[in-house]
Amino acid sequence: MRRLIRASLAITAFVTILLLLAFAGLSPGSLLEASLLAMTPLALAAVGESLNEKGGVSNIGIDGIFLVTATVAVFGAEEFGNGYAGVVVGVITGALLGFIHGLLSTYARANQIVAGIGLNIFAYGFVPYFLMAAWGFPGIRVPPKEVLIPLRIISFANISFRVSEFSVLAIALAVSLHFLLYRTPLGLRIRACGESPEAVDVAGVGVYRLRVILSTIGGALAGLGGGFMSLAWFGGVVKEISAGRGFIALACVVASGLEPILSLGFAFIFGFSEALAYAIAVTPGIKEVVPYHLVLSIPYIVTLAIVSIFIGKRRFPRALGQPYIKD
Amino acid sequence: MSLKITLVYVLRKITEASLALVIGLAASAFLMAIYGYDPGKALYWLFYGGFGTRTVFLDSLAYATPLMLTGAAFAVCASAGLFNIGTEGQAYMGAVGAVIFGGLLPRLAPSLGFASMPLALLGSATLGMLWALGPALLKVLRGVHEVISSIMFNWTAFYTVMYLVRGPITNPARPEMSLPVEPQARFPVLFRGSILTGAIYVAVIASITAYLILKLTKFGFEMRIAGANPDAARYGGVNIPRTILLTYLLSGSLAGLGGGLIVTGRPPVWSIYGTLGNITNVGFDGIGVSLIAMNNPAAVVVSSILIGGLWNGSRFMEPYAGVCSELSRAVIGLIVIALSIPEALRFVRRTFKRWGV
Repeated sequence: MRRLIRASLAITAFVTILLLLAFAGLSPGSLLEASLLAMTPLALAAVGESLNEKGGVSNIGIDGIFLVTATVAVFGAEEFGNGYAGVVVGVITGALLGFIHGLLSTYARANQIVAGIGLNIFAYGFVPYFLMAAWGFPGIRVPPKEVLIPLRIISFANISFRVSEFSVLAIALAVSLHFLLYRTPLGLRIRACGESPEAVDVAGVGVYRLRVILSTIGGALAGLGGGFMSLAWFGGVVKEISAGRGFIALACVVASGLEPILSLGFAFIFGFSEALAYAIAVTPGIKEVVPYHLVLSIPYIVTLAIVSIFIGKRRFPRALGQPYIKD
Repeated sequence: MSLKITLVYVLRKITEASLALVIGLAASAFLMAIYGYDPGKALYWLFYGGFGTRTVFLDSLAYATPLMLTGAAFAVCASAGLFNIGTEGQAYMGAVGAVIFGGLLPRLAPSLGFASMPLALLGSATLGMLWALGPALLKVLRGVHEVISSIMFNWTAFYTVMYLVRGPITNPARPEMSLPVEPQARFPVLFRGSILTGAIYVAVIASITAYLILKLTKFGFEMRIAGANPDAARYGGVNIPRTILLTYLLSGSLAGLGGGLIVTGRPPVWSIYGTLGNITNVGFDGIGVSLIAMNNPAAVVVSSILIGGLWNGSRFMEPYAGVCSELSRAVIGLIVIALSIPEALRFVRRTFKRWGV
């Protein structure tokens, strides 16, 4: 009941903000459209990450996975001549990176944060190299329009609304993973794996194997987000395409205390702040007043504010980030 | 006896770092081979361009200068168990500090011209420190993990600096870059024909000082014990929030100084590009520098030369071997990944044993 009240309060606040913005000359419909698009990669990665953090492995390298998969997804789409095939290539690449991170964090007992930082730095170098190696042009690739994934247009009455099927998928995944975590025996095992791996081990479940699988799934979902970013949202790839979104996704995860549905909510807030920043940056009458580059930093400042407000109440799995060493 | 133990320890660390280096280079050679480049040729030019002749080696030292400071900045935090990946943004702010206090201020008040070099150094360290204050306070007061908050501060710094460089501190004569620092604030070139300047002395002295603070002072001891075992530190009466805050401020000022030295210590621009092209990645690659040095601010002096050489050599790799220069960053990333396994050597040995080799 309390949750319901809170959720309805949040929605009321949001609608009020939208109405206020409408008075300022920004269209609420297009803002909502843009927010949903900006939400999607954050939500996909955040949902995956909350799953593998529940299992005890944190992956700081999501930003790097976004970058690499957004790039190879474009490559795949052009090779196969189909955007969805490109997204699949992104998902497989993301899964592979998550798998490697999982192996390092379990069997090799790596420091997960250092490994994640390494993954990010690798991506910052690999992506420009790949763009040059694959297409011979530095820093950017815009694929032909046929291989991009178009947005669906929903129209009722005289309002038409553009939405991507990946946004729907992200919402569905958040809900179903919530049920997986809290309503199934497997979910119990996953949570136990992050809380007390010793007990899971004694119960006869391989901690390492479970963690590697979770990390692979987390990587695959981040890869889905990466593929969505380049093929369905931006319609191309630049070498800084992720722009720190991997870390914003991490912020969603920690602000929500690893709850998939709540992290979806935060992803929407960040998506909205990003959409708002771009709307402010291009709307005549407003853009002359506020400096363009300062407006672009709004999403990052919102992230800082939200995380610092919400993190205080959260409790994290006891074994999160710790390599599990069998005696 | 203790000398022998130290020697063995140092040797083991060097072997581990070299192993990581070899893994990184081998993996990047593999990447090049996949896309049909000649890895032998590329790696030859990478190293020849970084260390092959006297002139390129001096240039590599020039590229190593800011990396030394961002590396020491990361190392200082890492000794206290903190991950300051905000060095990137702190270095941006440091570069702005150098431009404001070494360029704009003497221009407005010409009587300060004689002091523009110390002003620039002080300004860059101060701005870097202020930028580190944010993540530090959030960590201490709210428990926000520093990795997440620092990245947000990095991006905010990126856009803020871009706004400043294209707006308030732009060069009216050349709008594609910021105001240059005054000639008095520029470090003199040490050897004719290279871009190495006296800035490297500042970097070496600062890194060594950071090392001495860590090893010899009470504050350094508290930092290290807070990193190694927070519970023991708390029990022993260490004020952990205060230690975290001070560590962060020290780290931020080092990183800020690093960003400032790019502006005051590297010819020929003496300013910040509007694209921020000459100051980006200096913080991120400092992470690699620090990890290769096993987070020891004194060893950073050596490892920064290695990464500086990779930066410099990658400029040769592109025209002579056709490989995109940014691959050097992928090499650094792979080295960092390899270094994330603390017992890499033992891991290798264990695996071989399992396979019966």
